[in-house]
Amino acid sequence: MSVNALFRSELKVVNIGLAVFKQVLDDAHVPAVQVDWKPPVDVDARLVKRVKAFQPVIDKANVEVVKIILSGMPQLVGLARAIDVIPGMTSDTLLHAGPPITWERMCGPMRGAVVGALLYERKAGTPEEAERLAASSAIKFSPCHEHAAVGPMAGVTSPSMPVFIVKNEALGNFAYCSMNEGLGKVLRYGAYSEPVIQKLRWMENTLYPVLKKAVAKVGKVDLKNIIAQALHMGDEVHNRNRAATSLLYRTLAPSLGPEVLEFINGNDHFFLNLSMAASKATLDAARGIKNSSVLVVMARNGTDFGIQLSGTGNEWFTGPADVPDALYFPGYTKSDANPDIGDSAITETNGLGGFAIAAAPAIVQFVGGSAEDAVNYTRQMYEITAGENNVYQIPYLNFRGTPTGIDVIKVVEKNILPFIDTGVAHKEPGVGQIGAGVLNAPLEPFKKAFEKFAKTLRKG
Amino acid sequence: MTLVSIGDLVEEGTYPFHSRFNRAVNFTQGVRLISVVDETIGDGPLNIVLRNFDPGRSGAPLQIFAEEITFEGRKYSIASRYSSEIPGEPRYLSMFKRLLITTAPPKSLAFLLDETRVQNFQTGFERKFVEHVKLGVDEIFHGDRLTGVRALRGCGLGLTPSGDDFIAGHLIGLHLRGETADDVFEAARSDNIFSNTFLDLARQGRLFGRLKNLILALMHGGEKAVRETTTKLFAVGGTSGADLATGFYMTVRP
Amino acid sequence: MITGQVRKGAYFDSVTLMRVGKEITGMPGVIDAAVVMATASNKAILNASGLLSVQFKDAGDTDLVIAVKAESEAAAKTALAAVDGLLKRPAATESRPVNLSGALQILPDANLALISIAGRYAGDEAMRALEAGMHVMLFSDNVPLEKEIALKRFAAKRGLLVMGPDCGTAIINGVPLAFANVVNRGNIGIAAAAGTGLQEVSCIISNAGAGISQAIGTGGRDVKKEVGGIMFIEALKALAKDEQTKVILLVSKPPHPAVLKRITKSIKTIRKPVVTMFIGASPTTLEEAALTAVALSRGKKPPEVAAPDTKIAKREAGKRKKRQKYVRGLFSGGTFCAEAQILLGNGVYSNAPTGKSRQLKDSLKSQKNTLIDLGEDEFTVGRPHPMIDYSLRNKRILQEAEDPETAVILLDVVLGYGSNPDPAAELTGVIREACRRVSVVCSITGTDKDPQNRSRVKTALRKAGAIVMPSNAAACKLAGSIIQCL
Repeated sequence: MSVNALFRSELKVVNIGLAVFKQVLDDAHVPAVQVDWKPPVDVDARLVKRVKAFQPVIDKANVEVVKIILSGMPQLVGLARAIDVIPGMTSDTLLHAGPPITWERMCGPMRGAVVGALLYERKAGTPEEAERLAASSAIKFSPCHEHAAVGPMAGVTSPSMPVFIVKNEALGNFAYCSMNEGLGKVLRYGAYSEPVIQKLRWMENTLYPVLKKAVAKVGKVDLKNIIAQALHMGDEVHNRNRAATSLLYRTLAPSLGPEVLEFINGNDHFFLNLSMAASKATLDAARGIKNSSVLVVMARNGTDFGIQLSGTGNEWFTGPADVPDALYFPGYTKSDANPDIGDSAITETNGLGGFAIAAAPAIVQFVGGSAEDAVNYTRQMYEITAGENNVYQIPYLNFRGTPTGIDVIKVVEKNILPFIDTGVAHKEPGVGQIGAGVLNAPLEPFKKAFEKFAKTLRKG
Repeated sequence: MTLVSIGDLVEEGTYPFHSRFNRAVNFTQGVRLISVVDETIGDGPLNIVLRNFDPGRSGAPLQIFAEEITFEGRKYSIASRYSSEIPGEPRYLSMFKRLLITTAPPKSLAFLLDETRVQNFQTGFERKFVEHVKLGVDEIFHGDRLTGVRALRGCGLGLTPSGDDFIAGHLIGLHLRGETADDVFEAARSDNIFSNTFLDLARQGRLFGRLKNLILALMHGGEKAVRETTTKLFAVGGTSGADLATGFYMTVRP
Repeated sequence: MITGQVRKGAYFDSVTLMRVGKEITGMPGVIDAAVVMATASNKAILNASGLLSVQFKDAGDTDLVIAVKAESEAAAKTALAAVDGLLKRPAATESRPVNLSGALQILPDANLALISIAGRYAGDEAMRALEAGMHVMLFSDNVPLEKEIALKRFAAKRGLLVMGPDCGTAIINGVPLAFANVVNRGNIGIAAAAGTGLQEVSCIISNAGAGISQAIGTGGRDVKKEVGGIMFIEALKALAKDEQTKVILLVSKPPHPAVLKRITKSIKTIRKPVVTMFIGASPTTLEEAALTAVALSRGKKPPEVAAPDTKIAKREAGKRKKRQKYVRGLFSGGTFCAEAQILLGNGVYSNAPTGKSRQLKDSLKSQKNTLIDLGEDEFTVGRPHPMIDYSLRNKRILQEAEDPETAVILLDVVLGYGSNPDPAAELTGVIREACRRVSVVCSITGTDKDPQNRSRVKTALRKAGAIVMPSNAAACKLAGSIIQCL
């Protein structure tokens, strides 16, 4: 629009900065939008320039990655014991959530889960003994993510635990995740008292064989289809899994006995572990695409928040994990909360969870926001993603696909951080869940990833 | 924003978001509301007053600690507590009545003290409203108090309907006269958390800032002070301040 | 017929409900209406007044009901349909994007970006706006010079405006932007590389009954050699083409000679009258330039410069003691301080010298005739601009009044959006105090339509004892003639 055309048009203003200027425009009834501006992330200008120069190459790689993510076909194909299927699992290995971590740096809930897992595996007879064992070099700790697996909250997975086997039919790769224990005192929040261990044994001896048979009977369960439907029914399959769990229940019910049916019926989050494994199977297929700036992992271990990019191989980029803004259960406050923990942010990495929260207004209300806030959160995430989903849709946004494929370049350029909704663990082991909340990923891992990514860019 | 004062009944804890208005954000504390408000709304037993108030938009829960609060993700340290107790016995009531009749907002319940004000009520609904209120108030003071309270409960507009404001004034009056009023509160209780909070505080004789200032002025009787504090009270809500004042006056008048 | 709606869990304050109830009752065909919470009492009243609809049966204490009694179904429907709009609360749930692209999702055809973030980021944001085809007003200062040049070259190629950096004010299509005054619309177009200069001429024009078509700021650096007057000339061209503009007024500190040459060349191609006011370079004042533009816009000859009235000057001089000899000017607007230095001529000291003035040794201590620009960085680092925060200047006024050599204190008062909301309250106390020893002469830049209201401020300052002149130039001239009469 030329200057003279501007003189003949209605003035419409974007005000970036001082809000008082917007007030003047409001008084004059001029259409105006206020931008809550934030300074861009402070990264080396030379690297920004380098990334700009490579942008066409990066765009091409990212298109490829998004294509792989969108074509993912995660299916539940069976169940097995961890040691029998998870690559690299040994009898003295414990897998955990998030980026690599030593026993010394583990947060309370993760330590509690490790103790519980060692009691469950009968490698220790008392919690004290388990702690001594964990601190010795006899137990190897390794991130789930490095074994095609994921685990919610502490994510501790031990050799005898039964796991779901999810196959990405499009590329043939597998992903694994333990079964959800329900709410209350549970291992994933670091509880290890006798009833917790008893429940794990029940899951191994009763739930596992029944479910295994049921899945075998139906052949396979199309998880992508269930997730797509659940999004239309008010789930975002991270913090709300009520619809997805019901859909799964309906699929398997004919072959399940009353005891198992009652267990699944009483656990709205039963599907969470499947939505995580489905996301993991989908994203693992997109690893290792040269020059791609898209994330394939976001995960937290309760101490650090770590990410991995498709274009930077298996390198973790980490920074301290934040404490979520949460609605705390009566009697608890933020000072009781553990920093963000769990592999469940894999759902956000896959365009679900916080990225799809506009599909699940009920849980925004749960943490004190409005339905409108939910829509705004999702809208903002389109700013930092490389694509939109073809199957996962938001009804409220006219069935627009969810924002999918987090692009680290956009995150850094716009200083908009991925939005995650999550449960909150007590910082002491064994207390359990004390709230649910939302938070933005911390900046540091993204900054580090951006810098390394810029340096590894190669032509051709 | 800076924290000006915090009410004496606000307790430590984490409170979920309830609702947001231009000058107040409300959080639920059990069956009551804690409100973060701007200076025009001012002090109250469950109010947290912020200077340069911005209602924000995150809907994050309010957190109260011993020495600071967290609102909309920012921390504010607590400097002073507002005391909401009744400061003493109001005396110069005739002066107050004159102001009620002459300066209360047209659609307030001040018509109970001056029949000519009824002409401010024009539509069919409004005329029936006047009749309804008259009957209820008559019942409170000359018949069965609880029946009257039940009739008034919830009648009128807004967050705290006029009837509830009147009952709140009545409750404060009863407290001042040393009468227990738990039965009145129980009869007035509804599903409206705004009203319940307000009535519960009134039953305990807890005052918000503008009413406390008025009572202080009525204790000493300076014409100017009474006039100023009355004007400020009448500026609360649409008619809330005046409705409450009417209920209060009718309960404590000689 | 009676019809109604129930809104579950909808809370509104009574003021809103009263307003909405009243407005729908007043709609055509509506006999009676009520918008209330569905408490048992209210339902009883609705019933008694014949407004109870069966739909309200299950509504309770926390539900809002809207009851309408109307002559026809159509009237009732129209009334109910209007309720949503009437209940809608402004601003509270407005979405706030965090960047330009987010803003453009909400307002896709926005045509101007007003940028006031820190200078080192402002340039990049401005470039994004230009890339999106928007015009830019850059209020921010401290934008690197190279960035300014890059932005302006980019914009000029695409026919876009970049007003600024450090552009404090502009009026586009009658809309005051940033620190602007509310002026009449009219047929005088302004291009200015001096912010307070633009405010002064636009106010004088408006107060003289004429008006502004467009007022384009360019930022002071535009007319320096490096930038080369890119936007000043673009603005000039746009005003030349603009049909609403009959007279063009240019305001700037003296441009670099090469830039001046380019501007002069441009002016020669324009068939409209062009009034130029290059402070310090031309003999005229901002006031004369503004009034000349007003006369030309009315097809009249420029006014004669009236000889200053020496009566007031003599009267004021008569009140002063022997040792009181000097003018002390305390300015919040840099352009005003510069104009004052030109008009007072020889023997002037300033912290921002121009023309024949000499550099003041210590900005905190006046010597002889001293004119201070309080908007200079040395005074504004870490505190608001003196047009907003009067405390520093007020202190200095009292300090100057105490000085036995001070005869006249000269002030500018700038009104408009962004300036102090109540300058009269800020100044009357100190002026009253100062007037016991010295003469206080001031000018007020503003209009009666400004939020502060010029006449109200004028009356208050006069009451306090100040002599209020119609323009900065007139105030400076009076101050000059008072000391000449001593």
